[in-house]
Amino acid sequence: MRLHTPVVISNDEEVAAAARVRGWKVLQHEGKDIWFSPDAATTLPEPAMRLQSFSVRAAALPGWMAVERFIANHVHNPLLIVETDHPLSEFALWALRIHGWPHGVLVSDALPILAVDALARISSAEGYFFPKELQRTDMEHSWPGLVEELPDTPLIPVVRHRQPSPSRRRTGVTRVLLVAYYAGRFRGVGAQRPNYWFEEMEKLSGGEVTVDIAVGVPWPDPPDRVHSVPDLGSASLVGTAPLEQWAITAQQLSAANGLSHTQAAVFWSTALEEYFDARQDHYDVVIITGNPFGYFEFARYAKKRWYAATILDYRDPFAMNPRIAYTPEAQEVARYVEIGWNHMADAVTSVNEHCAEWIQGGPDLRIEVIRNGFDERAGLPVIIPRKAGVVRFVHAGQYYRVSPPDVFVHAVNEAGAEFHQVGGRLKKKHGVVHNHGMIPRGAVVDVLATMDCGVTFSSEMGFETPTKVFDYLAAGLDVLVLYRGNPEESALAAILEGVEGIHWVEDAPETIRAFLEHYTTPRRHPDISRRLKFSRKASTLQLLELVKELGDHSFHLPPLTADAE
Amino acid sequence: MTAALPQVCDILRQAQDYVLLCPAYPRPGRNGGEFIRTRVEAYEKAGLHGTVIEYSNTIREIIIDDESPVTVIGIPTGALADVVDEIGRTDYPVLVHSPTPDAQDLLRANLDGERLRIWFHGYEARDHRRLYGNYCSREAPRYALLLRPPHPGLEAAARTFQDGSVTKIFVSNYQMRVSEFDVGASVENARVIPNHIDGALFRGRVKQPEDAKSILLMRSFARRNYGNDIALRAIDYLSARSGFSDLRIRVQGFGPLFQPETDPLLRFENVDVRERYATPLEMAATHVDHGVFLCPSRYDTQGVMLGEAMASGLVCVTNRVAAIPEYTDETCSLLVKPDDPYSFAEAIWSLVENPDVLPVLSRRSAERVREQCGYDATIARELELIVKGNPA
Repeated sequence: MRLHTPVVISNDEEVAAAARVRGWKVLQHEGKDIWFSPDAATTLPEPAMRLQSFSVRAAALPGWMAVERFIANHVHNPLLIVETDHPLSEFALWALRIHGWPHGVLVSDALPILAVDALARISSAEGYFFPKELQRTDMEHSWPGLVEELPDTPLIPVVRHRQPSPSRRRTGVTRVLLVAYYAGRFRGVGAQRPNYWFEEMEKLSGGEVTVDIAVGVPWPDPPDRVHSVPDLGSASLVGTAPLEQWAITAQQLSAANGLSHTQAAVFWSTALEEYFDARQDHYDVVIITGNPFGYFEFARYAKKRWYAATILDYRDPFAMNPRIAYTPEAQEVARYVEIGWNHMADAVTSVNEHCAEWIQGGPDLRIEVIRNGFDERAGLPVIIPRKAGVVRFVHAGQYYRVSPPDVFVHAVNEAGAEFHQVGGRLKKKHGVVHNHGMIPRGAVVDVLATMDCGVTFSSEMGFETPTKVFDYLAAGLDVLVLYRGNPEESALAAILEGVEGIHWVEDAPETIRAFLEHYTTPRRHPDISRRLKFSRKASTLQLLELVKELGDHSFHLPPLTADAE
Repeated sequence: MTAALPQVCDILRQAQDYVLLCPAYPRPGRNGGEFIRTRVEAYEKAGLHGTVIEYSNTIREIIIDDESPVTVIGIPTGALADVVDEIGRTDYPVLVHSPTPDAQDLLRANLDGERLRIWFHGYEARDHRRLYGNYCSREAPRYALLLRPPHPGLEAAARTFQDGSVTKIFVSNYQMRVSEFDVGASVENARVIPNHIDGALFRGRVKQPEDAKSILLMRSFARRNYGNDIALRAIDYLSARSGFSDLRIRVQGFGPLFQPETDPLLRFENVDVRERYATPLEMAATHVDHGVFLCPSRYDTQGVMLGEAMASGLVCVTNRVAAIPEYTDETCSLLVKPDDPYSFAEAIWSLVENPDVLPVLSRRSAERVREQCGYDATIARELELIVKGNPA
């Protein structure tokens, strides 16, 4: 553990006052000038550090080094606290990279927009500083990651967890490295898949497989075999010397690919390489799961470094994802990028057959479907008798542009039923909504147990098989699928075929209204086979077979046929 | 001798069976394009007389070599348009190997497509990222940036693929399939004709059980996709096994990766490391002395070295990648999963422990190559293509 002195970078008087109350330093900034006090001031080489714009090229570098010395001269072991859109936000990332200075995220006004380096800031931060209570609540409701406030003490203890011991090769054991930006205590649904694999695959294999996980977001008090590798964004490419040509090229490439969805966590791959370069590990199989997808490039390193077989896991489609508003040109670039990643994969996996068809790869690309499912480990939720009263609809998770909830929520309001939202909040403009916010998984199960009908959307393309549906089934609820396009061709139709209590309703005002008029007596479905239609265990066993096959180093001489003699 | 364009035109105006254009042709002291020379020599033996035109930016002035059995003319790329113009006044077939993008467009624009037979050997119609493992992390962005679409090479290939009047030749079905994907266009009017493996030169002998411990690796170490590191790691891994010192291993090759990849083997007394190029004749002679050939690979559109070793009767340990399974299988070779030194080691060891399989695999290897890549399956088909064409 090491104690650090918080330095809040802000001109906001309210923020400065809140910081000083805690005994923290305040660094003010205007144009190129920064100062702790009139007697302790210096000048920035540029109005802002923009790593993507090569701020640390030769001309600017000495100036930025001087700024770093200025802060170090005035503060012992600084911990910079700054907004993610502040001109010095990337300076905080750079200081972490160069000097290991931890940093915190200041949220005093608008919530951070998750551009490449802002996501890196959030992911690699020690914690948050919310001078205003409202921002803390908003952040907790909008960001599924951990939102832990920095302690309000004058000095902040920073603990660096010990990384796992080297993973050595062992004959007969398949060593797996799982690479997942979001995992651990990240509350988004995307973390459930890698978390389950990390926690269960070894057990399910009977010890034939071991699993390490490399994770980008914070994982406080992690279990063994967790490699915490912070995402430093563009700062991963820079050092104390002027940018090398390869780093400039990497930035140019990132800019040329020009898509926020390719760029998210794109430089995490570099951070991972640097981390594993310094270690002596061996892995037989490396599974890289996204989104974000930017670090799928790591497959090339895994092959070169460990001769590992690689699996790229597309939890969502990437280039062909209809939820992403690509221009035709941007989609063509995304397609090109995805093909490049897949050239480095021994297999790619997808969550259903629809999504598998959209994966971009040549005729020799191996594609396997590894479904999501209900996490059966905690046991099936207890089904409690339905409370009398209005019908209670629930939706868990986020909404997408291709399937907005407005029409349905309005109709529910008109019908006098209730609409509950678990996860990211719906705003008032959508209608009367009971927002439960981002809540731990156990609490989600408790909320679902009191509901009548789980709602999901199937877009025009019909590619979705959201995890929430498995949770609804496990809770014994009716399920309402609001579809667009042809429901029979949707991925959900294949999964829900023959399942009782599934209501398919076109996502249009009249059809929804007609459904609500008649849907007055929801049912509970205690049947075990319905509730466990798909378990994560079943799909993980499938993945395990793939892992064992790809990680098998044996060779068997084929028997010679009769014509041999 | 150096020459001027009129002399080249004079040669092209003469009656001949074909003219062949390529961006590289082997010359004394310079490798590359051997597979074109062997074809030209075979055509000559079959009674077809032609002219070779090598066009390249590295050629500063026109050079005519008319002392060889076949006239070889080197021209700067800038002179190609005039040469093609002259060829347009003739009517013999035009054979083109690995054309540059500009050359493809120039030829199609100026010549009747039915005269053109274009060989795609691999890189001209390939997404470079199939070989991304050749680059280290600091090199990869440069290539990724340089070769982002629109890629002139792939776009030119797409136009050629879709031109049904032009005959396209690929060396494997695999290569044709992935080229279509990479180029983004299906190919019309195509044939698959493998590179010829000279069974007269690589005839070797049927290997015997006692040859199982005599192991040869002989390849270029120019790029990582040749996969030599897989085999060398396998050897290193096997060195811990009892009986390893009984093996007699020879590693021969050349290229920038040779030294870094072979250095760890210098400590083994039973591994003979030789950094040098081998002529086809030397290769054939070396094949005779060994029983097992290590031919690792990460990418091959055919695997000519593999074929030559098989023709010599060597029992090959190779990787199940790209087009290799099209040219060998479990009945004659040991096919190991991709990029896996440990499996590769087990495969080598399986021969050491089961030497009785050598004669069977050896005989089958040679038979298969003769049938699949011998004269009738290759040169004879090319001769037919030159003489009769391949109308769409």
